[in-house]
Amino acid sequence: MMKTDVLVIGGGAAGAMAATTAARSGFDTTLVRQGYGATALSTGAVDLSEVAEWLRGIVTNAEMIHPTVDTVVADFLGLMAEANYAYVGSQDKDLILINAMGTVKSTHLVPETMAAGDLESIEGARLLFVGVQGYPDFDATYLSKSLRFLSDCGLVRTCFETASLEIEFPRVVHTANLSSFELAQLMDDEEVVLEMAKCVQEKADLNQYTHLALPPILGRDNSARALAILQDQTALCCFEVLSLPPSVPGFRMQRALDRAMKHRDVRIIHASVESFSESKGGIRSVRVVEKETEYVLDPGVVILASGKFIGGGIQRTDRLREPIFDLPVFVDSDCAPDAEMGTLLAERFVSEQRIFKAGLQVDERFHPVSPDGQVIYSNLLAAGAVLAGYDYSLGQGGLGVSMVSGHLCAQVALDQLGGKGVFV
Amino acid sequence: MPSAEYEVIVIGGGITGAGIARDCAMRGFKTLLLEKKDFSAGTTGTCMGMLHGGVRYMATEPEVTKLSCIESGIVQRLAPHLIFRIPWIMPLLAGSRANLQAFLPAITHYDEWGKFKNSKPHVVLSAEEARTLEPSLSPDIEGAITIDEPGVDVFRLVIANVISAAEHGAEIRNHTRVTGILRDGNQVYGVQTQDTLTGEVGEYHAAYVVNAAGPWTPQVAALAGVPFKLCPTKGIHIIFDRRITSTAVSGAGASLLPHENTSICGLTDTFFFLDPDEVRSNREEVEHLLSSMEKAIPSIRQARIIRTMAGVRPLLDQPGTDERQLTRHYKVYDHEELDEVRGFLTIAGGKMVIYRIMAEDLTNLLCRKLGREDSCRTKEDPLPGGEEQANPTALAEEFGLPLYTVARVVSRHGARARRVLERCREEPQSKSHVCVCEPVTEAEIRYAITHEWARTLDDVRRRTRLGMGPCQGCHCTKIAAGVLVDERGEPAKRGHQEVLDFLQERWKGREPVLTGAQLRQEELLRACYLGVGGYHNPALERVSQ
Repeated sequence: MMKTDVLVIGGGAAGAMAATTAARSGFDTTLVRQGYGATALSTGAVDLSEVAEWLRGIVTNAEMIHPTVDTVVADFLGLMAEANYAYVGSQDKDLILINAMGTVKSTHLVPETMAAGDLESIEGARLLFVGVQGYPDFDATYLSKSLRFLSDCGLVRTCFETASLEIEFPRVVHTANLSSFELAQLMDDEEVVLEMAKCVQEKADLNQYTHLALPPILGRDNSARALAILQDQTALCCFEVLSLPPSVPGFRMQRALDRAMKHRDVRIIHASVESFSESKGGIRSVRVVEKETEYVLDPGVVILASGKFIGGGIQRTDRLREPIFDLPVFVDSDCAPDAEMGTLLAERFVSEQRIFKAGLQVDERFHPVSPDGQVIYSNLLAAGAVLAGYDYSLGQGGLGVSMVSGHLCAQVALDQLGGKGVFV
Repeated sequence: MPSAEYEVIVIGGGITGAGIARDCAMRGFKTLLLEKKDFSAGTTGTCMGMLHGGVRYMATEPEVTKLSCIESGIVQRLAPHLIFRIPWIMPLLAGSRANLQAFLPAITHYDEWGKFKNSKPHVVLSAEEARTLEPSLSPDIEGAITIDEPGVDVFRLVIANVISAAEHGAEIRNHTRVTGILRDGNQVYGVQTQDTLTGEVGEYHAAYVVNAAGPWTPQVAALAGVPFKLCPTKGIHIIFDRRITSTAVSGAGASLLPHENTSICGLTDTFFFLDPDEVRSNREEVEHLLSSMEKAIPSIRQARIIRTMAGVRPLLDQPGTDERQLTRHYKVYDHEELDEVRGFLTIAGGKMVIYRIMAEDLTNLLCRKLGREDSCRTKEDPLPGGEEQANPTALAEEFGLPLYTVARVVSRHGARARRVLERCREEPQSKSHVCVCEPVTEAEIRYAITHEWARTLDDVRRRTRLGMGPCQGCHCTKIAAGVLVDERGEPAKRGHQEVLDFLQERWKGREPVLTGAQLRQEELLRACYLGVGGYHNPALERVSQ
């Protein structure tokens, strides 16, 4: 049996924040995960817009909400800086970013490579969208057209002009079916970045523009360097546009979180949880299996951050279930694991679909509870998308809720373990 | 307001209307084909794609079965590229071995007509033999009979007929709703229309107006002021993410067919007297299909269902008949005889496989009425693409595309695959796969837009299978929207409108079956289009309308 103070299940944004927070306070921390989930598929932008509102539904002390979010933001920015993937932003300023669908998204924390794209702060800009021939995920002409349309309709501030061009990307073998990751891998090479800058210069008179809007392909690991070279070569502000999965920035963020966990000595085990035992109302041991190797962990506190359907934290075949601890699943605040799917779905695609608010209900210290409000296991906490009550695709605070709840779970864990937790 | 003179106006762009338009145009009639939504967007597009005789009808209407077998052989000759074989296992389910002897005479009889449709005769298999062929079969089966059926890409069969009609001079208009039928006393002389995408209204005059609107025929007849009744029944199918079995398999009242990269399970047959525009699958029907199918394939419930489709059969009115016993005969109605309204014909009933002879019959009547003697050539002249065989391997090499991609283009376009791929020469980026599940290249999408009347993403889907795979448009919707507005020279607004419409259209088919693994895909799809794209933002929706 392997003793650990804090066992985190799931390695996305919620799990990584929980693990790093716990580890920083000196607790022995182990993180078990099966693989990459929704965080690695995300745009990499962290939205905090409805986090405070969501927290109010869980935490009764409203005065601590704003400072808590600030703490988490500072912590996250610090982690990312340590991991050499700098993020910028705060909860008090909405950033309005263009995405690869030609619409805009409001968000808060973004990697430095996206920062210059905030439409709120580019008064009088002249944007040049740069597409890559044979890379269908980023349609520069359409994006340029669409942004002008949105601005004509008053959906975004009318403070810029747009244009577009397509370059032949240096050193690609194929002329079609290019993927973000393929291009990003090439851009890890500084020579390629220089050649790409040259391609852009040859195609357009850059004096006419103030900004280059690029697909998110500025390298898998060394995006800051690629950005600096491009800005230096073109003398323009450059930024990456938000993209759909598979998204290089989401992957970068996940990898940076992984590096941050390693810096803080979090033990990461790539395995799935097979079973657990309980005693005296708590989780006593957790058995995890990685190929042929089996670990039995003896955790002080378990933080469940296993995600929703993408991560597999919540599943539904004939009923809704949480597969690891068989915890009761709620939809909004009703415990309704047997609810007919028909009652959880609406006719219009764009309206709320209640199934996506399914998850665990927790008390104000993030313990999953039963339908009558009783804590199920005294040392089990839950964070992130496995929680009920919010649909991140509509509410926008996906990664924000995950990070804040992950952080708070760690604080509760520290309290329970008799450490220097700050949770009130 | 466009106004023109035609000899024949055909209302309805399903297989029946498309077949009629082709026959009329080939016989030299100045023809206009009108479709309120898109070709094969109604009943035809929700059928199983079987080009069979139908063992099911042997007992009650063997003449329909025989005719279907004969017509199947003809269609196979006209468009060989659209045809695929469906070897079929009909297991003798637990306790039904005794039925074998009762069943064999009908099957043997069916075999005799197999020569018309190029099918092999049946084989009786032991349970072990059947399970060797198809390991997912239930251990409880007591043997099996095989039959051999042809299948067809029904979307392409319709569009091939439409293309042929146009090449013989017909004018083609989809998304054009008939809003009124013009009558001067008892003489029908034309129609009023509205383009549902642009709002543009039109008026067209013709000697004859043909109502081939399938389940909508009563609504169209009402516009002409004549009563018309059908006995419509609803059928649903559920669609799985992959080819679960290598052959088709019958269950207890349902069948599972491998189809393209998916499997289809159907069918149901229940009365449906509501508006055909409102037809939807429901969870009870899905459950009925699954419980019927699991008697043959017990693991069917573990398979991943991606969506359903539902359609309405325009069956002939037969008051008092049980819904499973309704005739598959077709009938051409001359409203001059029925209602003393001249210049107006209606066609109803039938099956997809006999569309050609239905069209021939109706066109023969038109010839008699218009005093023309042109003979029907739809039996002989190949459909577009069926002229000769294309060589996918050579094309793949020539255009530098993967063979699996080109093989699909050839299966949809036959001899015309080269025309589709030609664009890759000058625009190599159009080799990119926009839809990765199927796969569909940008070149084929652009071809559908420029040559095949695709005006919306859903039209593109029907031409190419865009968005029909397991990801259900997650990857391709926004890329294809960009291609559509670019090729059509439309404003960005149309792109957003198309994204919203396509997402909604696909959702309609997923909603009744969403669960299990597909929920993961759905979470991702919502994260993309709502979480990132913000398409649920009412302001965006408003400006896109």
